[in-house]
Amino acid sequence: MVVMSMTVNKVWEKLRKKNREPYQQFEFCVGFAVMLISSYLIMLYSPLIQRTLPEGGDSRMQVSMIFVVAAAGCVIFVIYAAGMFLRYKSKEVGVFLALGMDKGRIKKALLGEIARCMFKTAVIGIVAGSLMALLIGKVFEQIAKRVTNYSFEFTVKGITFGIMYALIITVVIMIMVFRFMKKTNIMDILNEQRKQEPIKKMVTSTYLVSGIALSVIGVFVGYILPAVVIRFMHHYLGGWTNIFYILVLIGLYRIMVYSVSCHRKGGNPQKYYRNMISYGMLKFMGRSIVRNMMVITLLVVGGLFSAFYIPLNNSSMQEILGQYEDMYSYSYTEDAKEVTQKEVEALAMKYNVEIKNYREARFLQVLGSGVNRDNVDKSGKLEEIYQKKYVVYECISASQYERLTGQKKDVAEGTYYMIQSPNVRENIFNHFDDMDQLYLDKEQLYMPMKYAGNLTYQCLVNGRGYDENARFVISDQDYGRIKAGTAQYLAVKQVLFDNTKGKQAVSFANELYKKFADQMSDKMNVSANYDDYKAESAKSDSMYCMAATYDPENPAMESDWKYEPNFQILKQEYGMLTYAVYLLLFLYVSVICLAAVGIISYARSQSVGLSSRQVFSDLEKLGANHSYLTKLLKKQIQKVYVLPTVLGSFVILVFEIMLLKLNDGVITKGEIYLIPVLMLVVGIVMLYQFGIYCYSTKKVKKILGLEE
Amino acid sequence: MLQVKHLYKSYQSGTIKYEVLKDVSFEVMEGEFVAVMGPSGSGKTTLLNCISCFIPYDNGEILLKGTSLSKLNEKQIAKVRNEKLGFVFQDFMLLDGLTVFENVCIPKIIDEAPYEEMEKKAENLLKLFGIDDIKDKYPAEISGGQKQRTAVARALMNNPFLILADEPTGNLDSKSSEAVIGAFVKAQKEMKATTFMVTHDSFSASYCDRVIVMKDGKIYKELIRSGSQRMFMDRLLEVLGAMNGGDEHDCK
Repeated sequence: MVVMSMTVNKVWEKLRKKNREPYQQFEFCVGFAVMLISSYLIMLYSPLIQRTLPEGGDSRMQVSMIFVVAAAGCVIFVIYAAGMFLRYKSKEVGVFLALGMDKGRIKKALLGEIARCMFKTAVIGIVAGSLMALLIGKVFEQIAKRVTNYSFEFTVKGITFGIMYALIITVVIMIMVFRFMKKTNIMDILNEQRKQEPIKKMVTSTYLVSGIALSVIGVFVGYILPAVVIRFMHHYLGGWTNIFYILVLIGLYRIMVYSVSCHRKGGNPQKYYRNMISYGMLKFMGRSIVRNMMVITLLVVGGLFSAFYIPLNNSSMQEILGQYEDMYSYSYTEDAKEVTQKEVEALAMKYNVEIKNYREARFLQVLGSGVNRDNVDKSGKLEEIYQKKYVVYECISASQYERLTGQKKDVAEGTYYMIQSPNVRENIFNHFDDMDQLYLDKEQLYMPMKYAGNLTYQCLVNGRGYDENARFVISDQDYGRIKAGTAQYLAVKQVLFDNTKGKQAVSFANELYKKFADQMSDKMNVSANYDDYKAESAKSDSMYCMAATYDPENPAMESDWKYEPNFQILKQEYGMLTYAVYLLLFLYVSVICLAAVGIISYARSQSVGLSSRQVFSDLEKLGANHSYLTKLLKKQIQKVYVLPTVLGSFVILVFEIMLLKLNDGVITKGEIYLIPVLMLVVGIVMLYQFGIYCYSTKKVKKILGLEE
Repeated sequence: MLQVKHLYKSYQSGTIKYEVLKDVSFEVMEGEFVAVMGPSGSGKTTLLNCISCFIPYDNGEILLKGTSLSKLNEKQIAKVRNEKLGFVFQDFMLLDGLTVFENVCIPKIIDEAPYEEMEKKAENLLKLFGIDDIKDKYPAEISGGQKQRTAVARALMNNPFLILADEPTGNLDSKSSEAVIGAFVKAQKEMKATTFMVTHDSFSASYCDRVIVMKDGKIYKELIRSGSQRMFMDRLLEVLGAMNGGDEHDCK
């Protein structure tokens, strides 16, 4: 007997087995989303990444922001997949309802089906995500092992958050099922599969204009205005301006609604009539297609933003490396029994390296005045507090500076020049002329000083060259006065030299680095922001009195050390490695976003084709040949790809250029050269989208029987 | 068997209210085969959906063997649909993943009836409608007429009081239509089935005992069959022609 043990559950089971495709599609989408997000979370919470991204740093914030975009995109993607699945299930549900099955029983069965699918795919997704994270983590580890000791490990937090993500999307889908089953009208359920989602509003060109205007206002108030106010009024507008980014989203949405719904004869009636059928078909899928286009746009923005991180960082690194005048630069306090010139030369001989242009000079450390700009007041205005005793500066005489750099400068008594990097500009936190007196502790006197300008020599710049890292060139007379009038802080010896290049040079530099670190004094074992004066007055856990982190055996390791030697040969050798973890992480986010873009675009193309099946059949009856129908199909599918990709790419390109400009108020030559590289990345993403478009079109053509 | 009393139904679209059924009353006797005809927008499908409890109505009463359907809760309505009503849809509404035989069994499966009785009943119905040779085929493998006869067999599985059919021949060619209408007639004759059918097709309606003609949400005329099917069809065409002609006259 055919149905001997047939029960309702068996019927559901058979329907599931016979109609694998919608189940597979739904399960694939859920599994894919869970895999991407859980792998990302597992990776993000592994010590490898947690310890590499500085706490509270920009990179961590950017990674989190992009993750939010990717996670939200994946939720929307899953909602879309669940919606398609429920549309497919609506016929079965409708038939069971019409044949007298109790709604509660159907709801139970449907929830059971969904729960079964979700559990299966979530488990597979999390396992696959873990494997993916492990695989990529190990690759990270290998690439970054010279720059970090951290290893990839699974953490409870990472796996828990992955499971939580799966639970969140399960809850979202369950809510969708409840809403679906809440429909009281059987006819609505039965017709769900055939339901169109037209945009009901009358869409005119004001939609486009208002869309562009809202986007511009959103970017202006959300991004440009706060930067301008900080720059010119020294006032923080606060986080409320971020709300205006919503206007950008609304603006983009309106532009897309316009592109889908507003078509007029205008000046080219021929074109209008040629595309009239396509316009009409799109308009009737309006709401859902616009929602999809919006998600794709946001994911393209996220994907490109992450991808841009790679060329942007590489370029800035190359630009900085090119500014260094000498191959070797280091300084040390005079209490240290550091490597002498003879020792350096002996080491050079060992490695068959020739030392050239070895120079030494002495900087005096002296307490001076400055302006504290660490805080903002209650209204958001930046507090600028002048302090007579602010930080300890390093000063060098003009004659010694000339000996070191070859730059001759007449420095008048009572004036000073700041040693700075090329192209550096003042910002609201850092001014060149903040220091106006130096304190002579032996005499307990203040020596008035006046800022005279900047001198450029990158090798002598400590950190960013301001505040506790600032270095000044003063007159020989003032230098003598300070030398005689201070005893509070140790002088610092500065060494600069070059050598011949070659394979052995790297080994030489590695050993010199190790020797330097091993022989340093306790006073030198301090972090980059250490300041003697602040350390005396601050609490012991302050950022101004932390010990250095460094690895004498491994100069490539990211360090936080005020006296770290600056060996260009090692930076060139390990530069990319230092950034490897960052680069790979951003590449990973980019891959997540772009993979989601590909899948959503592909799935949408399929449903565009399938929901238009009747129209295609009718047009065929009216005499449309395959070539005409193929053209029509391509126009429908193109809508899913072209505008979101172009708009997303445009938005992120503009944003990045604004970022380059507003970061330091100037777009450098290197940054200008970078723009074509960014455009090349955009081109690659467009090619990727074109590939998926071709594949989607081919598949839909096959489904509709339009192959040649 | 079925009593419809002063039925009103309207739809709201924005601020405009469309009255689709306006005080519709009629009765269908046990064993009767009744058709509802009328132009598009006359309210015939809405009437069927109200009787099926697929959509709610504004006013009036629908009694099935004396039971008012509007007073039933969701569970009771489901029971009525399963045991006392049978449905045949224009687009068949067969489940693609089940065979013809399994599709026919669905009402009994929902009812959790013993399988022996269910199988026997299904076999009999398939034989009665001449589709027993395709019982193991899937809907995608059979013709439109066969699909609709499967749907008729499914509708009769629980010996319902009333079969409600919405344009059952609407998607079929004339030969298939004849076979489907033949199935309804067989059901009436051999199983004493009562059928209430909405149709556009005068040929299908001419097999019925009575035809209710609707226009603008009201009953325009009721025709009772006398004489041969051919003669009844001529009468139907005449009435429908006059109704349309009337429209034409009104326009002028």
